[in-house]
Amino acid sequence: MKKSYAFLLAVWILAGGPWLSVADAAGAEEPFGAEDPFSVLEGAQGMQVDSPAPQKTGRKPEVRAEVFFKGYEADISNASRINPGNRIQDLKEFTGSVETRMTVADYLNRQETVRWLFKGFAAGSNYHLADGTPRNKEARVDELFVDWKGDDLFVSIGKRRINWGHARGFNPVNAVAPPRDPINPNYQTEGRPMIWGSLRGAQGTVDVILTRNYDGNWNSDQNRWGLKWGGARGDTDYALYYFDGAPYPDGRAYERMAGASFTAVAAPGITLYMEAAGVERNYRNYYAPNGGIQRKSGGFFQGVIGSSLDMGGKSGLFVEYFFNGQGYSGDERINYLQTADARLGNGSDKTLMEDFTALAMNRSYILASLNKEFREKYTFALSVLMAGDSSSSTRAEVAYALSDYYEARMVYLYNAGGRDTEFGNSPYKGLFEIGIKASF
Amino acid sequence: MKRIRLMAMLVMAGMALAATPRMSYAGDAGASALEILDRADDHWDLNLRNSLVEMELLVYRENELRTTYKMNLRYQDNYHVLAETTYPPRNEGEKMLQAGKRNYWLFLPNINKAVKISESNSLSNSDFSNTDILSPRLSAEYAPSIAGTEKLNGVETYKLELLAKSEDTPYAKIVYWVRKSDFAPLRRDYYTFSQQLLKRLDMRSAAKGMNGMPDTFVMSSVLEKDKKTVLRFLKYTPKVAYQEDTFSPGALMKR
Repeated sequence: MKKSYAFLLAVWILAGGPWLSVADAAGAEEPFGAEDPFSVLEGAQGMQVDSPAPQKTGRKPEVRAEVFFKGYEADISNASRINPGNRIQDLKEFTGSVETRMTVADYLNRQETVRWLFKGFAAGSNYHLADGTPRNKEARVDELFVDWKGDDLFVSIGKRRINWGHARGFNPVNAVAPPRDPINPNYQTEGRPMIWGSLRGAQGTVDVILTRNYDGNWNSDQNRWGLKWGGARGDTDYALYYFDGAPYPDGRAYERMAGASFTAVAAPGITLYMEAAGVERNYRNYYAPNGGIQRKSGGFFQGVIGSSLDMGGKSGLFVEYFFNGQGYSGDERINYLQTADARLGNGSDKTLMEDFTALAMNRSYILASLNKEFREKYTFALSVLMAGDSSSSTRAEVAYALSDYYEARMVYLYNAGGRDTEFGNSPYKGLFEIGIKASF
Repeated sequence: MKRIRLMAMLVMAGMALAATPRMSYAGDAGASALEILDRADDHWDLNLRNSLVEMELLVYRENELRTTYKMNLRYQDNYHVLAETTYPPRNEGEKMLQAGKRNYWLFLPNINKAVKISESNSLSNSDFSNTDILSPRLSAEYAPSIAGTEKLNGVETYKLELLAKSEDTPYAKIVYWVRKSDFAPLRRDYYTFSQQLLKRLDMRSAAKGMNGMPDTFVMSSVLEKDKKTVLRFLKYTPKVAYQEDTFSPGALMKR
């Protein structure tokens, strides 16, 4: 008898018992606590179910505005060989500005296939571009266009900014818009007048662009055109690019660019990408030891390879290596700087000043950029750009969300390097920015 | 007497064995684990197909509401979804696109650029990863088996154990509780490849007449007990016809 009860008890325990669920048993070591997970929603209204045909009438236009109040303190580098003693650029130590950006967009038909958009920018007093370039009052239309979007066809007419390429910092194939500052690409938003057509098919998407402004002088009236084909296979997206145009007013043929890029997920959380651009002609000035200007025959190559790591949400890290075949070698850079010493010692030389081109005073650059959000209110961003001559530019930014509408921000840009280096000759040693951003 | 005792023992042993989860399930329903999984995910995926959903993400930290995001979710199918942030204003216009299986993109309006991202990345700093919400159907990525039946908060459920078919998936294992009466999804526990319990998703359907479609989701972290994210569908519009181009990365820069 006792054996039979023991047997039954064993069977019952092995079976788990008809009235003892595993969930109940697990409750003793419940890893998420015993609280009802939905308790925080007490009193919340349920989901509203709309009619199958969404109502288009009464739709409001999209309106967005951002206002920035900024103050700057600059640590001016008197040792800069392109701005000796701050005599040429006459940079101010303390400046401040108010910048406003506004976007308005709306659809012109019920089917929402035709849309217009306006983006405007205005800045008062003195302000700085992302790379520290000082500017005065300015008001401009960044974008103003109308577009039409069908199932596979898209057409846009007007001033618009589009970016080509898959890389995050350097974009050598991005021939349509002017190059961005890789350590602070935000807010470089001005577009170009263009007609943009895009056709999507089974073999990918073809984009055709006709524009009139691209030759280093944004006010020129030369015709330019671009062609892009993009596709995807598996985890990889790729594209081919071609950008060409009419000769310059002085008769020189346009540089003409052909490029390619791809991006792929290399491993969970890690993306790999690459861009390569071949430019057929090189009109850049190179300097001989005696200060004479030289030109190089043939074209040049620019390429970037990089990888990004997702760290959750908007947090992430990316590293890029950029090769600029148009950049100066060590000797060419020293020749340039010695020429600057001779010509800028007592006067100014516009051509020579313009040849001090960002990201082209060396041939190799490495960029590492970290963006981290924590406690949902703080954002920390750190970008370090190191040139082949061992000089560097570091940008650190801390932002604090005061509310959903206001954000306080501090930025410090620090340039370091020796006498013969690119960033060592930057007009600023450091630039401190403090500001408030309001979004509506 | 001995015979009666023996019969009683056999009957009770039979009852006990019948209560063993794996045996009971197969005997009761006759449906396979894959069928249960698909029917559970039908509640979610099929109802969302070709719909527009206005949703909010409530991010709780240290048991306090830290951030609220609002998004419009354009859902075509399990692999074609576009989420656009509409609130707060400082994040307005940011878009997260799933343009195919394991093909995720983030559009940053400040630089007018779309960048490819990983599926394991979290959605707007919440406890949800991109796949948790944008790709609800699990049968393509995970092989299900029946782990038993259980009572979950007083409700009879099927308990499924889903094992990743490859190491490319964000999770090694998902334990999935499905309501027995109508196959409604109730809870998922997510495990890492080191077999550690990572987080838990609780679901409920509050709206009536929605065929059991979950519209409220709570993702809780096992690492920090006071850390969780609530996702609520606020407004649901079915039968929305999207242009195919809506879910291509190239379209992010167009509209």
